[in-house]
Formats: sequence, structure tokens, C-alpha cells
Amino acid sequence: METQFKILGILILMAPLVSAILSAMLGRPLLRSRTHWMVIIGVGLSFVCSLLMFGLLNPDVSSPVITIYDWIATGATQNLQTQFSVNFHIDSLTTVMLVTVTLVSLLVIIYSRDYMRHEHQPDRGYERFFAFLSLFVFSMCTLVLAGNFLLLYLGWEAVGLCSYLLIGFYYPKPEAAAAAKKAFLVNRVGDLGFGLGILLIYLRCGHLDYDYVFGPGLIQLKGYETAVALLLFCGAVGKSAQLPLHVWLPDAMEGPTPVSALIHAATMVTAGVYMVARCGAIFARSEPAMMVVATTGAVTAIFAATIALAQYDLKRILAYSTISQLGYMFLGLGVFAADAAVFHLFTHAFFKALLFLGAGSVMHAMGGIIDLRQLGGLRKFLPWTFVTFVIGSAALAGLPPFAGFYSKDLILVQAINTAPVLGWMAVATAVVTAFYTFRILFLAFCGPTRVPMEVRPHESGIWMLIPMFVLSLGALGAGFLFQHRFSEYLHLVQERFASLHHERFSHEFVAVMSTVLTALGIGMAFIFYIQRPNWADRTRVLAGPIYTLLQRKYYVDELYDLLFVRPLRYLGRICFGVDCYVVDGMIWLVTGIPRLIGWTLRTLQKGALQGYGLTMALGLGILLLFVWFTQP
Amino acid sequence: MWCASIGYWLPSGNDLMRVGPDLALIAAIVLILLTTMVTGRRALATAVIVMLGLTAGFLLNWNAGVWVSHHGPDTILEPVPASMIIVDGFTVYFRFLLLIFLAGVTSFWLLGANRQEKDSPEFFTLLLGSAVGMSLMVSTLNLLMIVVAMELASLPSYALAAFDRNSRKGAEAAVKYVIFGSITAATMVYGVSLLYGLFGTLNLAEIAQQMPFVLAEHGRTPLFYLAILAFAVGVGFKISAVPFHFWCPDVFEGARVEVTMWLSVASKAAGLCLLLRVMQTLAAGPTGAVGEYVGPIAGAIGLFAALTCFVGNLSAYRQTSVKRLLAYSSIAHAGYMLMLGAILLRPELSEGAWTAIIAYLLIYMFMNLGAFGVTALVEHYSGSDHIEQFNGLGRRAPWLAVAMAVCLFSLVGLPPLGGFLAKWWLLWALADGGGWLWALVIWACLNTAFSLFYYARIIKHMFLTEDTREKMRVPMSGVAIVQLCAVVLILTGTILAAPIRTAATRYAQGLLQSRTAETLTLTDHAPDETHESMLHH
Repeated sequence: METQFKILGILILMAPLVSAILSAMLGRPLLRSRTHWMVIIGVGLSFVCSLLMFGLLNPDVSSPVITIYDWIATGATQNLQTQFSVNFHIDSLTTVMLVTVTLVSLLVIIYSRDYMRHEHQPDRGYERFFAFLSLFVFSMCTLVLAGNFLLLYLGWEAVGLCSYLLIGFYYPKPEAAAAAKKAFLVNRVGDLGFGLGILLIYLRCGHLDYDYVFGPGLIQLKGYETAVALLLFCGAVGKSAQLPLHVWLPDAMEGPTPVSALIHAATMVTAGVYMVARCGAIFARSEPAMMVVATTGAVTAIFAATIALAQYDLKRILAYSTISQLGYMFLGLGVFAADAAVFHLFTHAFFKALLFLGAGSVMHAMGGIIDLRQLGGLRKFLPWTFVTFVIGSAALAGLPPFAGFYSKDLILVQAINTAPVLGWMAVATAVVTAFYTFRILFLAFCGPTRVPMEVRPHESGIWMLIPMFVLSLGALGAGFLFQHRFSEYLHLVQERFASLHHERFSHEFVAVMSTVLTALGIGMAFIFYIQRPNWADRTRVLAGPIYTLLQRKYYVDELYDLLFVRPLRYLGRICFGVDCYVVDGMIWLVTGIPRLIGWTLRTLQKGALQGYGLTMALGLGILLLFVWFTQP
Repeated sequence: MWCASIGYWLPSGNDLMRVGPDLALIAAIVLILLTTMVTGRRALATAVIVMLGLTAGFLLNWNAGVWVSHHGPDTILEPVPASMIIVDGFTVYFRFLLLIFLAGVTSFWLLGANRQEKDSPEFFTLLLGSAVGMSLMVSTLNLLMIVVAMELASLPSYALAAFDRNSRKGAEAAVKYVIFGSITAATMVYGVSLLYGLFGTLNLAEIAQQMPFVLAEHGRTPLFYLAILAFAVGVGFKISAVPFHFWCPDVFEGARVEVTMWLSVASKAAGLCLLLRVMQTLAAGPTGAVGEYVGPIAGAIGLFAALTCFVGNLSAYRQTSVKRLLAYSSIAHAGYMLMLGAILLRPELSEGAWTAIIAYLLIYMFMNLGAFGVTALVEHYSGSDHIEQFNGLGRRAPWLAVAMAVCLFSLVGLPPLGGFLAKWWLLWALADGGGWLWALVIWACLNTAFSLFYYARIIKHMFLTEDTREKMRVPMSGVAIVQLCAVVLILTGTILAAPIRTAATRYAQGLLQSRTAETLTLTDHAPDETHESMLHH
């Protein structure tokens, strides 16, 4: 069994890595427009292996840890473990994540085959795109498979790097370059906390292996759980774009749409959720940390959802929706419903990737236009995209029997019963979500067409539609099919979170209520954007300042600019000054001393050699004096 | 005393096998000179002979390695109590590195525009001659032999520095080099003679044994320190430790890339290994004496190691010539390695120190070979090693640029490359010592952070600076060599990390055990008697 897991794990990692390297090496000279095959094969193999691993794993048996090889081994010192290995921790959470990641990646890569070919620059960077995507799959799988914090951190940073590279894919475009930089820098803030958290674990436990830290190490962590949990959570906040580090994700939409679908919606941004679920043993021991996680989640959920109400950029609305849905997941984690959170992660991957691919299809059809005010009535031109988009929207809004309903429902039940205030915030978010989701749908696909004259929309090709169909199936059935099995399968995770179950509101009540409220939201959207379009404008005028507040995203960017960006820029200038004057001065001084001596002597004796010789003699003299004075 | 007993001596064939690699290099020199008479000055013929010599040396060294691992270290010139040459695991290891590095230098010399050169026989004669010297430097504990070996390594180097006969700069540099070399050599010989005067022997192991007895007498300690430090000046010159590094700027400016590479990497490594061996031997004396007499020397070495890496990094900071930048960076690296000298004097730490130094040397050699190799290729194929020539290399010669980036990142010490692990082990060994050694650790970390600036500058030029020149046509074999270095660095940083560590630890343990055994046999010699007899002189 262990050997099988070992081989599968290595294959899952190596297939995308090798295909990334090969497509980077052979892409330009040889493969060119066939590069996608390399990556499809690599990631496909990875997906098959993930499925096999999923099938082989018995969730009831304690999870095996598989050591691939020892990386650093340094002689033992104090009580710190000095042997770091590359090892895999394979349990139900790992396999679920692996299957999700590789499946969505595979579909998005298939989709990209057509999308990237017709998009903007047909000849530039086709192979680069696929090499990066494949590298991303490798990094993400490393993150998920990791059996210790060091490897987790490595994967964590590697996905960050891939995200940076892909956001800045159209790097000649200044917005894209700026967005990439922003994403990278904002993530550094979170990663600093994450790194410190890992360091603290290491200092307390002397180990970084999950097996040790979540087992005997928990005793050594006693008293530090809250600090560790909060530091780790910092990393999750950065990576999963939660308040207050959410600012990078909307800007990240500058990257190609498949990237937004894969990295900035379905997989990478959920790494934070995965990490918190993985470290559930630590988080569950700290009441305050759980409170922080839940509160951050709930506040972010409603915060991002309200911003989404007032935006017009199709992809940005979806980005805010992603932030809001990630908020749901963190709420779930914070209220001891880790299985529900991971379930939501699973379903969300399908429907959000689907929505983004739909948006990509629209962009593709419209020649790059994604402003909702210029769309409208696209149903006629893009019938298949419309159908899949409806399914995705229904799943996002949480209508039964679509996938989002089941997972969101589980989180809501637990939240309302354990933290009522946060629970009701989440319920309110559900209404807003339903409203903005159908706002997109109605504005883009229904009503009169507002398409500019010169654009001729056309339905996408089969390469783009097939992945969308597959994802629609997921968005349609993943919730219904797995609603009971999922939690059973993941029971290991659930076990770690001591369940605090005292039901005030029954499951059925919450389900009915949320359905009714969702329907209400959809109805309002219908009235506002189909029946009485002028109501929308009237409300906008009526709500004046609030509307502006939402449209300007609560002025967070402006605030950060004032608080951090400008002061840091000044600091940068100071550093530059230091470099120019202090460091250079130091260099001048250090090289200057011999120069000076040489010069003095040269004027006396014509020749630098003596100066050098004198310095050497001086050096020997200093050595002698030093030894003389330090001798015992 | 022992002069009388030397009598008539012939080495056995077995003994000769141990020094086989050195003999192979010498044979290659002779062959080169003879072949030149037959075929005329052919660069290719010379290179073939060099490569044959290197291969033979490699095989013989392998053989010696096997022998050493079975029988323990071999001492040659057996009849003399102070054995002249020691062939142990460390010698064998260093020879391997030296031979590989020589092969690299030879290849880059050939790949460059030097193929048509008429002077290659001379070049290789000098190169191999200094290589023999370096190999001997690392395989002896006899002060006389050390002096001879160092001169053997140095004299050809002076000529190498001035190899471009038409270059005025080269000539000037060589003159300076010679003068510094002779000053430091004189100082060193002075130190050696003082040591001999104090202890009455040239064998360092014996000196270590007698230290407490001889130095117990009042007034001898300062003399001892003077002797040791004067000795260290000679070594400091070889490893260009501050303030004995003044020859560097001129020599690096005037010499060719291959020569710079040779002088700044191999010569430094040999000097370092010699110094570390000497330190280790002195520390292996009677336990009480170590802390008392050798402790302050450790402090001095630590201080100068810190200075060396600082000055090396600062000098590299604003260099526009990549060759010189790398040469200065190698001074900084010598500083890091020199730090280990400070802990070698503490017997409980020496295992970690040896492990670190063994691993560091290996990785240090590959990363410098790669980086200097790319520089050599760029210089040959675009005319200069100015940093501007690296502009847009990522597009003009992607394979070279990638290899260069890997080597540079490894030189900085970023994971997951070999350089990171080498530095990590080194710092870990230092941190194990605790106390003031922590200051060295922090200092090394600061310097590492600082060094990132100038290494990253090259990377910026390669990948971020646009350049419209056409693609560079570089021979495949050159690309293959630098790529090989890059691959080795990646592998040593990831998969091979643990095996290297294990091997280095085993090596270090073997070294220390054999050393202990050696000192044990020496203690049987009844030091009192020696001491007495010496006082009579």
C-alpha cells in the first residue's frame, strides 16, 4: 500500500513538473502551437493518479506518512529536529484536494487551448502560458501533498510565484505588471506571519512534521496555540484574500481568464482554507483563534458581496464573489464545521471555475469586452455559454438542487447554531449573493442587446465548451451526490474539530429559509434589471453616497495607498539614498584606505607597492596585538 | 637528530601509487614539452595530453582513495619521523576536486579563442605545475614541505598572471603579484624558522604534542604567536584574506578569465585546506593546551574571516567587470570558509566543521566553475566581460543565462540550490559553538543578504535589460559544461543533499579518527625526552 502511494505521489508531482520543464524547453523551438498537448498529458496523468489515490485510500485507517527522501540533515542540536524530509501526508483531505485541483486544472488547460490561441497575442507566450500552468499544478500538488510545514511553505510560495507570473502574463501592459506586483507584495505581508508561525512551531516542538506537531507536539505547544494559530491564519488571509489583505485578488483579474478561473477562483486561493483545515488540531485548541477565523470569514463575506453589487467589470464581480465565498469557508472553519468548509471549497471550485470560463467565453465572443454596460442580450449569440452560466449562477446563489446550496447550507446551519450574529450575517450575504449573481446574468445575457456595432459575438468552439459542460455537471450534481458521503469521508478532519452541536435551528429550517431568501434576491434582481430597469438607476441616485462607497470598494485601496504605499515609497527613497551615500561611502572608505596609503607613499616614494606592504605589515601587527590581548 | 637517521632512502612502489596523481600531472608536463618538439605548438595536441594526464590522475587518485579507505592514511617518506607527505581521505578528496576543476579550466581555455594560440604548451605547463603544488599543499604536515609546496603553487601563478605578453596591465599585475608573493613567503619562512627554533621539529603534529611543555616556560608564548601568525600571513596571501589581498584587483584585472578562475578558486581552496589542516593538527595536541594557547588564534582567525567576507562583498558591489565581481565574491566565500578555522580549534566541534568544509568545497567549486565558465564564454564570444555584455542574455543565449542564474543564486545561498545547503551547514557548525561564534553567524547572514545585491544585478542585466543584438553562437560543449554545473547545484540542493551530508560526515569522522590514532602513536614517543633533548640545543 505504502509503495503504491509513494509511486502515485511521485507521479502526481512529477508529471506536471516534467511537462512544465519540457514545454518550457521545447515549446518555442519545436512544439509551438502544440505545446498544450504536453501539458494536457502531464496534468491528465496527474489527475488519473489522484483518482487512483482517492480510490486506494481507506479513510478509516490512520493516514500514512510517506517519506520520499531526507533533504537537510544537520547534526542534532538542543531539542530541535535537524532532519527535514520530503514526505507526503496522505489522508482524505489530501485526496479530495488533489482530485479537485487536478480535475479543474485539466479542464481549464483544455479550455485554454482555444482561448489562448485566439486571445490578443496569438504568437507570443503560448508555450510560456502552458509551462506556467503546469508548474502551478506541480506547486499546488506539492502544497497539498506536503507532510511537513517546510514543504507546505515551499508549495505555498511556489503557487504564489506562479500566480505572480500568470497575473503578469501580459507584462507589457502596465496594469498587468502592477497587478502582479501588488499580488506579490500583499501576499508577502501574510506570508511573513505564516513563516513566523512555522518558526514558532519549530521552536516549540522542535519538529515540522505534521505527524509530530498534531500529535505529541500539541502538548509542547500548550499556551502558544493562539499565537501559532493566528500567525498561520495571517498566511491564509493573504493567500485567500480575506479582509484586510483582499485587495490583490480583484486586480489579479488582469491575468488571462483561464488563470482567473483556475488559480484565482478554484484552487490557489483556497490554499488558505486547506491550510487552516489541515492545522485544525491547533486551531481547535484556541477559542479566540477560532473566533477570529469565523469573524474574519463572515465580515469578509458580506463586505465583498456588497462591493460586488456596484461593479460593472464582469471578472471583478466574480473576483469579489470569490472573496465572499472564501469568507464563507473561513466562517465554516471558525465554527467547527471544517468538513462543510472543505465541501464548499469542493463545490465552489466547480461553479466558480465554470462562471469564470463563461466570462472568458463572453470575452472571447466580444473581443475582450467585459463591461456589463456594453453587454446584454447575449443569450441569442451564445446559447451554450448561457445555459452553463445559468447553472453556475444558480449554484453560486445557492438554489437547490445545485451544488452551492448543499455546502453553503451546512455552513449556515453550524454558524447560526454556534455563533448567531455571524450566522445571520452569512444569511444576509446569501441574499446579496443571489442578487449580484443574477444581476450579471440578466445584464449580460437577457434584455436588449447593447453590443457595440463593430463587434460580432459568436459561440465558442468545442474545446472551450466541453470543459464548461463538464464543470456544469459538477455544479449541478456535486452537491446533491456528495452531501452525506463527503462529511463521512472527511470524518478525520471533523474529528479533530470537537463538534459543538446544540441545535436551536434545525437543518430543514435553515434550508427552507435560505432558499426563500435566495429566491427573494433573484426576484429583486429580476425586477431591477428585467422588469423595471429604471428602478436600478433610481436606486443608484437615491442611495448616492452608499453607492459611491460600494463602487469605490469602501476606499480600501485609497486608504492603503495613504497608509502604506506612500510611506513605504518614501522609505524606499531613503533606502536608495542610503545605498547611494552610506553604502557607497563605505565602499569608498574600504577601498580608499589602501588607496590613501598608497597615494601618500606614492607621493613620497613613487609606487603603491610599499603602501600595500605597509598595510599588510599593519594587518600582521593588529593580528599580533589582538592575539596578545585576548590570550588567557 | 633525525638528519642522521635519514641515510639512504627509496620509496616503495606502493608509496608511489599514493602520490600517483601528482606524478601523473608531472608526467603530463614532461609529455607536453616533448610533444611540442615533435608536433610543433599545437593547442589541441597539448589539450589532449592534459586531458590524458587528468584522466590518469583521476584513476590513480581513485586507486589511492580505495587504498586509504582500506588501510587508513598513508605517510610517505616513512624512515623520517616527520613524514613529508600524508595521503589521507582529505587529500584524496581535494585532489578529486582539483582534477575536476582543472578539467573545467582546460575546457574553457580550449573553447575560447585560444585554440589558435601558439602558447598553450607554456600555459598548460604552468597550470599543471601550480596544480601539483596545490595538491602537495594539502597533503603534508611538514613545515618544510608546506613552504616548498606553496612556492611550487605560487611561482607558476605569477607567470600565469602575466600570460598575456602584450598586455601592459598583465605585466604590471604580475610584478606586484611577485613582490607580494615574495614578501609574504619571506614572512612565512620566518614564522616557520621560529617554529623550528622553538620546537626543534618541522612536523606540525609533533609541535602540537610538545606545545604545553615548550610553552610552559615564561616568555615563549609571544614568540609562538608571532611564529604562527607569520606562518598564517603566507597562507593569508594564498587565500587573499584581508589585508593580504591587495594583489587581487590588479591580477584579476590583468589576467584572463581562465587564469582568474584558477587563481581565485583553486588556489584559494588549496590555501584554505592547508590552513584548516594546520589548525586541526594544532588543536589535536594535549587537550589542556588547546584552549590556553590556541584559543586567541581562533579569535584572530574569526576576526579576519569576518573582515575578509565583508571586504570581498563590498569590493564586488560596484564592479562592472563580471570576472572581477566573481573574483571578489570568491574572496567573500573564502571569508565564510575561513570562519570554520575558528572552530576547528575546538575538538568537540571539529567534526561539524570538517563536514561543513568538505561539503562547501564541493559546491563552491561547481558554482564558481559554472559562473566563471559562463563569463569566459561571454567574454570570448562577445569580446568583453563587462556587465553590459550580459544584457539580454536570457534571450540571446537562454541556456547560458539559465545556468548563470542558477550558479549566481547558489552563490548567494538561496534554497533549494547547493549553495544554500553549503552555507546552512557551515553556519550550523558555527552556531553549534555558541558564544561569540554567533556574532560570526549573524555577520555571515548580513553579508549574504548584502551579496544578493550584486549577484542579482547580473541577473537583472541578463533577463530584464532589453538588448537588440542577435543571438550568441556558443559551442554546445561549453553550454553543456555550465549546464552540468547548474544541474549539479540543483541536485545537491535537493535530492543529493542528504547523501552528501552523510558522506561528508563519514569522511570527517574518518579523518578525525585517523588523526587521533596518529597523535596516540606520537605520544608514545615520550615527549619529555624530546623536550629535554631539544632544550640541549
